[in-house]
Amino acid sequence: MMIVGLVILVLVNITILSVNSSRKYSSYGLGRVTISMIAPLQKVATRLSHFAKSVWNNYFYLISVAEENDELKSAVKRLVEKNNQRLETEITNSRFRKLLDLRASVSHDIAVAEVIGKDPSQWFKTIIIDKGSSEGIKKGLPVIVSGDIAGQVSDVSSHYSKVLLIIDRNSAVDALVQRNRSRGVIKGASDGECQLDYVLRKHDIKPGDTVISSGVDGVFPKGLRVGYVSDVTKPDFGIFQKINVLPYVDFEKIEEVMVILNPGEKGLLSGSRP
Amino acid sequence: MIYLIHICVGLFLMILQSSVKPYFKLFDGFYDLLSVFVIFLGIYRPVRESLSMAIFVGIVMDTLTGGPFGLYLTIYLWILFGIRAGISFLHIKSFFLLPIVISSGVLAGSIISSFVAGMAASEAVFFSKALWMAAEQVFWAVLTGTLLLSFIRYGYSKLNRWQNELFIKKGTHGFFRRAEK
Repeated sequence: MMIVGLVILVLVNITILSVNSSRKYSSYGLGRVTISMIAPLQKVATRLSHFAKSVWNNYFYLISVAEENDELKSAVKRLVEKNNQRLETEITNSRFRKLLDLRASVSHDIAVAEVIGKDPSQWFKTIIIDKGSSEGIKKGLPVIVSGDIAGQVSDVSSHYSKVLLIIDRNSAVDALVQRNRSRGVIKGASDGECQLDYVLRKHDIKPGDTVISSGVDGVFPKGLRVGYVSDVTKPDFGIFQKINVLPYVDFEKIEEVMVILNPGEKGLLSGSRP
Repeated sequence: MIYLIHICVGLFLMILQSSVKPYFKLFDGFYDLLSVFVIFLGIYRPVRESLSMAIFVGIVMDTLTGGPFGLYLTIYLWILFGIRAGISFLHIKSFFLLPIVISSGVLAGSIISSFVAGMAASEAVFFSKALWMAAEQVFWAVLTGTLLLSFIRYGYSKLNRWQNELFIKKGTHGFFRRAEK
């Protein structure tokens, strides 16, 4: 009797999970409350992590290799600390300058946001950013990094949002191979890569080809870069080829992103890109 | 009060793995720390506390991750169910059984997660990669799970001692009236 009950429980559980996975972004409003609750803490923790990392990389490491006397050591420490601050400011400045340059070249309204948390699960790829509905962010808006596609807003609270990255298996972006305009769908795969699905065997795709958004999905404006083809396999059977795509965005080092607030209004980026 | 402490511990572990852990490449394949917290609650705390906390952390995880809503709720409830069932016929508090119990809990979580992630996967090699990820998580769980659980237990016993000193000496009821035996 207990075994029958257990089997029924498992079946009900699987059914509920299957139904929920077929529904996109459904956290029944709880998402907003939870993100609002957790995100400020994540923001503090992220800042602390950055600080600890910078101290570890530039301060303690140097202490261990310094064999000078105490006076020199403290002088070096002070200089290193100052230098580290200067370097960090320089890097941040150059990053912000790039963002501003890009912001000027993009013909859309843009909101720049900082990444304050990553998906606590290894199996899914999302990030939490520090901009929400009060800054004009809405569910479904495209998210880019230096003009390359990073993902799509999947949940929004008043000051924070969750972004589903293109390397997540639930993500899909309608895409084109820039060189010969072959169409396919970019889907997330393992190891931070993507796959370009549904490209017919007859199309000539080569490693190194750039993949861009087609604009057909109504989410991403046409012409944004997604990644480049890293591997092409034509199986012995089937009508499609297997294409691996390496995203241009380095999701391991992602710190700031830009959300396109009016993706449907205009088309391409105004500047030409390499 | 005890629920507030559980919530703080749960949120601390969650923030640790979403905002601190990603910056350390070494811990890329690390297991879900909250699984160990749920195992701790299942073994050392009363059913009412452990059940309500498993539901709470499950819901919070579900809203923070990119998976379907209910996935982590499912994982934590099944881990709790397994622990409570195991307690009735095994002495799972034993030092030798704890690593097995923790790694089994982590493995159960990995199996459910990979099953759900696999439903959306289009790549043929997904299951071999999922197997590798699960193996990596179990490896870390065997290596550090008992340590983490002992650390959580030690923290709770310290709090227990502290509240005993603070409240019971004064003749008032403390937070840990149903503390572990």
